[in-house]
Amino acid sequence: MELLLTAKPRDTSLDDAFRDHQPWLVRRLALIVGDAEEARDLAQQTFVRAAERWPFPPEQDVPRWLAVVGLRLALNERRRRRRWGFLAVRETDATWALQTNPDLWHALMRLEPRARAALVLTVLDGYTQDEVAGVLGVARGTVASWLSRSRDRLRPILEERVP
Amino acid sequence: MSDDFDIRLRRELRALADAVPTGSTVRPAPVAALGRPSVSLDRERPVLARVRVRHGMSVGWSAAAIGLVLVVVAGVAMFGGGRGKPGGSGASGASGSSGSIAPTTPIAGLTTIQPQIVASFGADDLTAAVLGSDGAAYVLDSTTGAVYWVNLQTGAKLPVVSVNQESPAGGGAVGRPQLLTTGGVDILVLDDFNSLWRWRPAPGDRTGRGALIKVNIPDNASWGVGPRAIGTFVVDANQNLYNIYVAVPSLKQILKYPPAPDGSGYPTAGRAMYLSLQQDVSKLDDMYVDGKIYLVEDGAITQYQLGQVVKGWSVDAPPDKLIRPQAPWYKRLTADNPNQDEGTFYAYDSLNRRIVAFKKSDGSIVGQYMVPSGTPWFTDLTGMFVVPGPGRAAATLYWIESGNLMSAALPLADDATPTMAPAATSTPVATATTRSTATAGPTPKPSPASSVPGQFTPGGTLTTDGGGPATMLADGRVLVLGSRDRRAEVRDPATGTFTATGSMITARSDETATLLLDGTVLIAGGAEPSGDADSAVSSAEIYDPAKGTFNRTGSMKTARFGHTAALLRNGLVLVAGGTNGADSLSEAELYNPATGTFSSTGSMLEPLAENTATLLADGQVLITGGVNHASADQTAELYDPVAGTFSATGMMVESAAAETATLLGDGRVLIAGGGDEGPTTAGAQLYDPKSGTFSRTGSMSTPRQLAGAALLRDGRVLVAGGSNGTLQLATAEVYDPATGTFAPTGSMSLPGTGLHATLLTDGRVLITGGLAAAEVWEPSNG
Repeated sequence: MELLLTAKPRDTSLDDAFRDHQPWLVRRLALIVGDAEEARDLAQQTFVRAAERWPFPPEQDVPRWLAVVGLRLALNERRRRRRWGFLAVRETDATWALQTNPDLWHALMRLEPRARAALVLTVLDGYTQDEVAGVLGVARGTVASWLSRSRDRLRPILEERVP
Repeated sequence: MSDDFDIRLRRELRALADAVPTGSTVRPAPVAALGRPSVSLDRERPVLARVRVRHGMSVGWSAAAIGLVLVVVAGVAMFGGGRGKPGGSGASGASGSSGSIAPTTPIAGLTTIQPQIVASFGADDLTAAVLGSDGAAYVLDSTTGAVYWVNLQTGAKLPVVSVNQESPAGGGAVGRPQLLTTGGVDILVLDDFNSLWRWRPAPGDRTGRGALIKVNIPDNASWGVGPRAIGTFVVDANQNLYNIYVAVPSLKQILKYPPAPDGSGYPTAGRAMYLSLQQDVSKLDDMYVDGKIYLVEDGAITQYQLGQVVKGWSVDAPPDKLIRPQAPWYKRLTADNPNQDEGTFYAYDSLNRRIVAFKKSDGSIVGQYMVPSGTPWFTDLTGMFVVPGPGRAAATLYWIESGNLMSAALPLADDATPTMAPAATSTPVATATTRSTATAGPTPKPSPASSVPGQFTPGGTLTTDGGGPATMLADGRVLVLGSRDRRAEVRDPATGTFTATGSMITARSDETATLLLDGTVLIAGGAEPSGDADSAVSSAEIYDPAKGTFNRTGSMKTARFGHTAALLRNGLVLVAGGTNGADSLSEAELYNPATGTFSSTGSMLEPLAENTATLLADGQVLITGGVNHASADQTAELYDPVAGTFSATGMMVESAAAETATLLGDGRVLIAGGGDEGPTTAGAQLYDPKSGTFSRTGSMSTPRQLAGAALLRDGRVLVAGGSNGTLQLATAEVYDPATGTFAPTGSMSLPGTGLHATLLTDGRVLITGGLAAAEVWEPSNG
């Protein structure tokens, strides 16, 4: 971790940052919002925000910043859509998920969005519960209970899949 | 065991993540794209686009984002790949995950095609494409105002008809090209002066040479501003004579012009009104002419014969409910055979990003085509044509999208695909194009019949975005707050016009506005746009109608938006629930106008946002619905102002959020619709304060959430607009407590959601909210 903090190159262009970070940002967001198209849109919005303050100060951890902003945009996008009533405005673009692991996908989508975000952050990216709590603005205990419940829900799905 | 599970979970999640089409290989570089984010998405999501037009990019932002800075500075990089490791999860895992299906495996009924770029244009505003008699594509580029000839084999292109171009044959200069079609061997270009220009390729030429002549149509002035579509039908192939059809919105007609027998033009005397009955053609997305006419409008394709709708013909539903649950929304139509009732239609379904192929003769589905997962195509297709393959070979689809002319082979779906191939000299007999409509989206069709007298009329132009609450003032004026800035306005009941009033101290959305006993209005909380984030605010202000000014008053204990407020009998205001941006809130507080301060009162049993509060006849407040964390809530609570506590009352019949709650004359409360993240419901329920229970009553004709509702003078309830979870609604209905049923009552001129319905002093109802202009519903005139 310290390595990443200190090895942050200062001359990175926004183009480079986009190339380096857009794919994984989209991947994470798609798992959280359940829609690749929306994830791409959110990632794009995130880079728009990044462009507004580019270049980042040296101490800024770019992937982390993108992750946090992207996640917040994602969760707030849901609020905005709820507010204006078009959550289901079109079919979810999730063919990729249905072709990969439909059972896990459906189970994931049944989780509460922030619980899903917590799961993705901890399992795929090694965030601690404290860090997730910080990112999502909830108590650590809440994160712990989300994770525990989510894992309980997913367990039967994955165990069925043992060859 | 747990380790095994964790490993498996990580592996499977990673496989899912790796399967996500990131679009990074086809998206433009970020800097180029940053100036105009998500343009194509806006077009693809029609309802969203509609809202963005009105509300701009008012992305809701979390108050908790304030904490973001700390997190970022203190954070350590663990999320995803660091620099030099693009795509932290790599792109290799998908195929290795157990049980995964190769992305190219066809899904039942769907064929994945392989798009290729034929030619790229500098600008991305290509609005029409047709196949010329010379085997080349003709593409209308609205950015440069030119029609390009494009060699389909080489991609070579050159402009053949451009704005300001002079025809050597006379007729003046070409205006800005608007519509493009073919007629016989000709390419026809309609410009913005309603002049029709004929480009006839030189015989045998394959290099884009030809001659430009102005077509003599003396009657073209009657087409008004903006003919919507143009098409042709060949009546004499040897003489290259064809009828012309023009959809003219101002006349609500499709005008038909037979050619003069000597080919000298289209005399006015021959003009005919094609449609038996006038109809709105201003929203046509496409028109196809082959003797019959097919109109593409509102996502549907309708066949006309001799000016009348052919009732027995319709497009079958594609058999793919599970994979593509949305009903198709067709925007473009083309065919591989110019003969009436022969061959196959290809229709672009913009909602599901696919091409659906179906028989012209009976609308039965013969195939459907999608682009490979992760590619951006079929999100904003604006024109297309199909070139049939020779014999049994696959046909080729050509389309324009995002500044490119694209092509892809269409593998034969089944025997129904026609084998007809035009001879080398054969030409498309009839095609049509329509004006590009980047912002046109699905508009819910108005209800066909009004069984309850009553209608909507324009309610005046707003000076603000009108997205905030509407409050009936004591003098009959209505205060309407903006939702994007500090502006506010009042509606004058005498003139029905809106005029600006003082500005709010704080710009806010999702706040509450409550008329106090002294005639002033309490505006509390809301989300304030601030830099990166909309943040919940605790501040409150008072509107003084006499002075037209806003003044600060005490602040709430809790910053919130999406809450609810109710004036109590004792003159205090109860504010309850809402969200701080991250969590739903259970906190409630009371505003005391005498002291101008808020004080805490009991908390709700459940944290709720987007809930309702209804003052009952006995002075208690009924709290229903709302979002508890992420799901709609089924519990209801009563606030007792004497004890200052909340207590449970009967459970709702079905959960609801963003529903409407209206106190009826008999003391009961009508809860209509609702949905939020669950399915939107058409159901309605009644709360009876005597028994403290909810019971089901008649359902609305359509699911609604975020509708506007108002109690009418005669005791009935108007419920207008909202969203059915997919589309915004323009329809409205009236609930009659005597019969317990809803009946339709006219439609607003435009759909809208997040509406406020305000009963005016004359018995009419003002509708504001997610609308560009106000609407007024008036009850029967008899």
